[in-house]
Amino acid sequence: MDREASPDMDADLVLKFRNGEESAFEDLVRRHMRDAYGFCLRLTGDPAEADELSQDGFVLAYRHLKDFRGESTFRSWLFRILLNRHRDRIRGRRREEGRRAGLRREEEGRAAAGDETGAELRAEELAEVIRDRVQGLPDRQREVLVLHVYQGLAYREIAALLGCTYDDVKMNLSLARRRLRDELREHLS
Amino acid sequence: MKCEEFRESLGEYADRELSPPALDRVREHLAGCGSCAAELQALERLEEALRAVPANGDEVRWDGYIDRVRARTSGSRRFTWRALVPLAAAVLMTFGLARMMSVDFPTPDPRSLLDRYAFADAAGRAALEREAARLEPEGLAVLAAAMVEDPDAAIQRAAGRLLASRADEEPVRRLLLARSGEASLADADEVLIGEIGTEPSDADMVAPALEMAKSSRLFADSVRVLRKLDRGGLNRTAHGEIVRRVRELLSSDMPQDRELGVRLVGALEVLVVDVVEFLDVPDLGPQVLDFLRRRTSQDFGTDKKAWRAWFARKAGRT
Repeated sequence: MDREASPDMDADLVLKFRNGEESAFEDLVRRHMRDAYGFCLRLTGDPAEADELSQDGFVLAYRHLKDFRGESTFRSWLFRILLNRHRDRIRGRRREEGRRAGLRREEEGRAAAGDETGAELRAEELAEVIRDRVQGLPDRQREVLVLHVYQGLAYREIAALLGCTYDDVKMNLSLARRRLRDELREHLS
Repeated sequence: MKCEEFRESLGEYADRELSPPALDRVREHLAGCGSCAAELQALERLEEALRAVPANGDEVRWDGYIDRVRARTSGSRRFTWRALVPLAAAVLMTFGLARMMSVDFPTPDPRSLLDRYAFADAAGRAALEREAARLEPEGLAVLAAAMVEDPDAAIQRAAGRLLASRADEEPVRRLLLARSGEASLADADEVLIGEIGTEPSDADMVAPALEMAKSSRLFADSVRVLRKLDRGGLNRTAHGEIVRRVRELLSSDMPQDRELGVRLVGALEVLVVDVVEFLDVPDLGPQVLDFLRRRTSQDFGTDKKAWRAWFARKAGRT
């Protein structure tokens, strides 16, 4: 996607949709579906969930587009919807997932210490380990990290999107990195 | 400036977030400090590794994606309304028509109010709350139904907050509390009362919830709402607001306020150390002592110094 040119085109499409041109919304979906899906995939770590979540986001965007004031870009607004929807979906599953992830990490830790300490992982395996560790971050840290590292948003954009301060973004990003560095130390050296 | 302070800025430095003067200061420090330079390298290695990881799988059927969105958007609104009708009717029955108001202004459409409120900024929300003040029981019932049933959490939250803006009214309180009661019976994570508390602006609901606590009949339900709002470090705004208001109650000149403060400390487990101060106050002392014993499994009687020392030791250990 050409991000430099997109906000104006998005604003144009939003206007057309609000003036009754239904097909303009489909153009918006077409322009953002890969980006939205990629974002959801980083958040959820699961292709099927990401597919469903990103579609939920577009459905909600459709319902509320008439209220979109254009104070942020359509992309930021859509990400905000996706994040809120994601939080809704994971709430309720959070504790169970956290418990399982904790157990999984403990088991993996024991396995690594037992027989493969220091062994070099193949690139794919390393990618899997990193994905798993990113998924294991606390929600807010993962959100900030994904928005910054994978979606390329600046601190202030993230703060506006999450409704928090610049310092909150900085702190959460720093905590996420510190934790990942600790957990991935042996693989990154 | 010490290395520690520079290290706090290394993330911003690597992310090109620093202003030019700050950037120059960090750059200058890095040139002369091997340890901080190594720290930056480690950070950059991590960043590189993270960016190199592809997302897990990419097998979306893009050709059918838009069709699926289209299929869902074409029916979404009609479905929502149909789902809400029976519940709205039930709530309306509970509510009765007793609070029919005679108003000079046209009654706002609750559904439109919700849609606008969910995506409004702070100023817009304040105006919409004023509109919500004119809602009649039927409109409030629609809000209550949306709070529980709407598939969109933004709408659920908007409904909850609009109702909260009228929480000083007895019927609205009953409505809120009925919902919080349901939440404790149902899967609490799936309904509104499980949703609130995660956004900084949810701190606005602390005041009405505390108002409810002033009624002894509503105290337990109020505590349930406040516990949802108090998510500690997850929502420092709401937590801070609760602590501030409970502290105000504890330091009030009015005995009934202090008593309420002590009860809230017991129920919410905030400002626990602060209530030690009331151990020798005749009307509150026994209640405070009972709470402290249960909370800590310790018993220093009315010896305030001993209690404080115990809390200090405990804080030192954790």
